[in-house]
Amino acid sequence: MANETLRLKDIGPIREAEVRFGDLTVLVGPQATGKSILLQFLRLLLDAGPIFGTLRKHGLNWRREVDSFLELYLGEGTRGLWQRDQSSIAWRGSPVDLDELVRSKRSRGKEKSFFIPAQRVLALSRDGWFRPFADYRAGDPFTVRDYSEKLRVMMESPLGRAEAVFPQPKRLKSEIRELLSRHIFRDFHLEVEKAGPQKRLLLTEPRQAAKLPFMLWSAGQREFVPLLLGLYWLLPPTKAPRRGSVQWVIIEELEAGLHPKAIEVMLFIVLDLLWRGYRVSLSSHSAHVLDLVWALRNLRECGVDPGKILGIFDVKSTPSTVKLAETALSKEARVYYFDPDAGTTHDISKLDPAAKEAMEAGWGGLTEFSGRVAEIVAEAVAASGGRE
Amino acid sequence: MSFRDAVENTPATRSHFREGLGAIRRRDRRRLRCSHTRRLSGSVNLERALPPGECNEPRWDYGIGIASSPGDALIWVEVHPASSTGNVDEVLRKLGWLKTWMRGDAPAPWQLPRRFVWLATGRVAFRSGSPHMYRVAQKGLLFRAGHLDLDRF
Repeated sequence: MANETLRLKDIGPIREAEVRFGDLTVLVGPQATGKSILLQFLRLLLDAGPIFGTLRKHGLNWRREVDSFLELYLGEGTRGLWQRDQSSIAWRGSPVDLDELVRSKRSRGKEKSFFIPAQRVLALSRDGWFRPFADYRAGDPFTVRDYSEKLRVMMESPLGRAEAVFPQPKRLKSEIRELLSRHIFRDFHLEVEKAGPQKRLLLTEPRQAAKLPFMLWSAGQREFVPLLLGLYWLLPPTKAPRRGSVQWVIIEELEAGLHPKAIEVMLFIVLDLLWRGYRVSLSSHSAHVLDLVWALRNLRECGVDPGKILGIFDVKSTPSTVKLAETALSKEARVYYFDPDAGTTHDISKLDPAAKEAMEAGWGGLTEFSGRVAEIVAEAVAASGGRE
Repeated sequence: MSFRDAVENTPATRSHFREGLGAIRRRDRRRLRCSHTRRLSGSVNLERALPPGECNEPRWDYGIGIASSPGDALIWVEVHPASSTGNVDEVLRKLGWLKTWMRGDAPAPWQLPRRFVWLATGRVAFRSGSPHMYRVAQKGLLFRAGHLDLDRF
């Protein structure tokens, strides 16, 4: 595997971060430790040309200055994140001159990454349709504006003219559609309603003829619909496993707003993305995500039948799901912890519950609370003489 | 009551009191950390005290006395793998045996403040927050992987 290593130094809360990306890479750590900054820099390094091109197309000018560019790209208030004499970036082992990069006149190039931002719920307006790029303020993060615009354009395609957006027979594996119906949509369908030139997404329940507009969706459904359509963007209804030139999928806070059952479905979809040959990098605050990484590592080391992975998701064994499971076992997964005190990253990929380092044994703090709960209860039970 | 009194007032363990960590097998002793050894008020090896001929049940490994306010506290330690969820049942069976034994044949140790610890060896097959861990906690059992820091008691 190529040396896909990103090093950031003295950028915002990051003092020194080094992440070597695997097929699947998970970034964990408390809020505001730099995980999103690192993911957004990863995207910038992969897709500077298309990013500059989109900004220019919408008349946004950063006067070839780093600070102005960062305010447009990362969002308002990020001026000063980059310290001219201290901050540095190295990608694939070579230093990157950010001043030179933002002075570049590049505006083209095939996109190598697809970024699903944490604030994806903002991509939908309260009327239940995707907001165009220009609908946002200039200081809103580029990743949100771009995501929203991509989905808006996709919904102007035949997909948006179809009545049922979910389920669609040619979109997603049938096993994934079944999981989505079971755990997220239940008896509802996702449909487009057209009234003259205007469109909106509705959740419909065919048997009761119920039609729910966006404002009546559950918080989980509001979060999931933009995510689902992002997956549609990535998984075209053709025999091609991937979309165009895209190789990297970057997902911020995969679990945002989702019930644990919905997170399970998303993790199965992540395995599908890996099977399709995408490299997936995500940030997360969910122990479920690390459960999967831990399971893959241990099952691989035990040399088990790949079908065991399907048991994790309660998915039937079919030729297609077995292939997906086999691929998952062959992939390299890496986990990095962002230390809020030191401003550094630590490779905790082994996720060994018996590790001497608390950050690895406690999975970067994600299982720390549960550990303390178990500890306090065990002590109380032992001291009370109860249940004896 | 002191730890020593508790051990010596129990017929099966009467002659098995050892100073410090003397009752702990060497391979297990290196898993125990204690920087204030003066707090150690002794140890007992139950497997030695209750050999298989006398007890056919799965026995608990060790009792360790720790000086605590106002008297001694007793830390019951079982050194056992945690490489499969089946190990949870094994250790809980041992815990059940220990509590029954204390209620019947060893009432003296029962009177001391006590903690029960599963000190896991080797690879750990479940993480904190898993249902197995909660099952263990609900029985009053603390789980430690690799090493046990006696200073924390």
